[in-house]
Amino acid sequence: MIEKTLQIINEQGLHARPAAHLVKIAGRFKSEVKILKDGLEVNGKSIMGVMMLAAETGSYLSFVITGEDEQAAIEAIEELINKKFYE
Amino acid sequence: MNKKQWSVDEVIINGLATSPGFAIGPVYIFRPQVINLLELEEHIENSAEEIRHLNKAMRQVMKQLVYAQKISETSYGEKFTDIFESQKSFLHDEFLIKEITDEIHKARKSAAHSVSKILSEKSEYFINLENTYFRERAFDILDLKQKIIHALFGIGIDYQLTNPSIVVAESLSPTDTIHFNRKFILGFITDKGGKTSHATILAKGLQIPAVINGNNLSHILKNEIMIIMDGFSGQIIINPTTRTVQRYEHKKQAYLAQKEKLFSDAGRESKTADMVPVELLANVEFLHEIPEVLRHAAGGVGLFRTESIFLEHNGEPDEDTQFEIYRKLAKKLAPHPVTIRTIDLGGDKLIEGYTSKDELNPFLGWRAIRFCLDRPAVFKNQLRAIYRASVFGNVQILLPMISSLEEIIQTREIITVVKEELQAENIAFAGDIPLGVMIETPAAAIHIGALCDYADFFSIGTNDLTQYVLAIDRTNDKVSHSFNTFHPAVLNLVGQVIRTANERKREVTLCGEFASVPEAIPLLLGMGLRRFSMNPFSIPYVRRQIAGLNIAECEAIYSEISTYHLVSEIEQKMAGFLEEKGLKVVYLIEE
Repeated sequence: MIEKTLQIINEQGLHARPAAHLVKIAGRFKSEVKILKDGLEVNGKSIMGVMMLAAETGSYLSFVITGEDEQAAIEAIEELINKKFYE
Repeated sequence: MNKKQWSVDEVIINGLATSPGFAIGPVYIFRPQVINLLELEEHIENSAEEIRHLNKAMRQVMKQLVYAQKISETSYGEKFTDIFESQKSFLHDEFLIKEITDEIHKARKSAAHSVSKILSEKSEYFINLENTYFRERAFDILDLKQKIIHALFGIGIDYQLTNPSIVVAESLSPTDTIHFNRKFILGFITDKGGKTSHATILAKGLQIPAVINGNNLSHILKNEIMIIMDGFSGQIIINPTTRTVQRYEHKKQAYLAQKEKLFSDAGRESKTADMVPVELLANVEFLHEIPEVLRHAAGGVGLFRTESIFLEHNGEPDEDTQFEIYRKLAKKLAPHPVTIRTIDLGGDKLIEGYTSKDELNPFLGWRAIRFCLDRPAVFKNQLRAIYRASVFGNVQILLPMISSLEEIIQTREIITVVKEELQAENIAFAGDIPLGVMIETPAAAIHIGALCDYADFFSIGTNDLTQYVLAIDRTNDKVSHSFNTFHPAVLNLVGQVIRTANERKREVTLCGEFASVPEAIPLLLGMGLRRFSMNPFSIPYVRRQIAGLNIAECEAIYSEISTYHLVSEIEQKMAGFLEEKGLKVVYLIEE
């Protein structure tokens, strides 16, 4: 299990398109991807879940990833977030 | 109310006009059919069958969305793409679908009931969020819920508009409106909405009238009832008499002819009959209004309001977000000047947890420049964003609610820091950006001579100035009827400000509603005002009026009016003056 807190730094925050992008990347891995913010825990492979985080720019999300490809998953997610979803 | 009752008399209802024009025609009520979900509570036997129905319905809705998105993007570019994309992605969300199918399996409820339960819960969650963007996703979810339920019941929403009609609805979503055959829409009347709601934007784009009424007309009116809607006054006339219809037919034709002529003249400069040039500028709040500004050949943006950027963010947007907006604005308007007013929050523009609340006198309270100077970090961010945008066009800064010189001095100190920082960071900016102040408090107006030493230009805000000079709260129904900028005390003060500014060679603009009031324009010209900033839609009308006036007669009427003591006398005199000159412009747009 890997736990990592990442800050959302793109201008919009997790609006529809960046959220969909995140879900798409998370969905490529076999590992379970959980995201926590302000006491809310959602499934990182569910667009409804990710939107429910209502993550604005500057907010911090804790990722809890469990599974055989967890390392690759967190790396991919971290790159996506830090590269501002390639917007 | 039934049809028979309507046939007795014409009824006039007042609403809020959000897009100009006149429409005369039958009502078309648009109301998505509501299904009584209580009937769906019953237990189901075959859950596999329900799930099959659900899958089929979702495939159908997906097709509808793909189609609707295509049409929407052809007409409006990517304006509504986010809505369609998020609805489509919800339909693909296997975890969401599993929640629904679990409900079908475990609770043994019908597909429609389960969809309704799960999506209502989700929408309930979003509606309670603070951030506007995420909160509004609640409506996308509700809309999606409706669509799936309709598909489950095989109900197509009735978008059939087969003859020209005035569409009346509670509210309209982007997915709703694209289904109407646009050539049949004469106008929109919605129960809810505002200046930025979808129906308003669409109506402006289609150049048809839109009115928002608070009377639930979509539930009171019936299909086929004849109505007239006036997209200037906001009036809706139900079951008009033949005479009223004729009157409005005439108004409508005159308006269309006038519009045609005005638009074809839009390229020309604004000059009085005796060839004195006058600048007509636009008041703007959103970037999407810019094409309208350019179409009416405005001499620039006299007032860019920045509050909505903060209201949309429910607090402070970061510097880069602001910079992007100011940059686009400056670039699109270049070489014309763009006057950006720093935030005027407080008063009636409140953000929970950001501005103060429960003030006893909010309009005398913690608002505008007072708020900014108490929150230097917020203020500095905005000033930095404006300075960074300055290299992309012709930018000026305007400070709201100034009542003392200290406020200007403090602002200049912050600007000095901003410039030093930007220099240190090697970020380009356009040297010294002109810094102007709003004249909207009596203190600023009375002290105008001293302000000339501290400010580069002035902008008179007549709404607030009138409110403060007359000590009348415009939002208080008991006194608001006495709110009138034609009050001699207000006119006198405005005249003094304009005269002093002109003598001291300081540019002065009037950016309140008053700048587009036909009876006010000759007076303002007579006072020496040469810069008017207004709603972009009003520019062609004002330009036409100005072309029919010459300065000498404006000065004469102003000097005569200066001896009057009664508001009613002044108003009568001005109305008579316009009548005489054949300049009674009736089709002006109220802000």
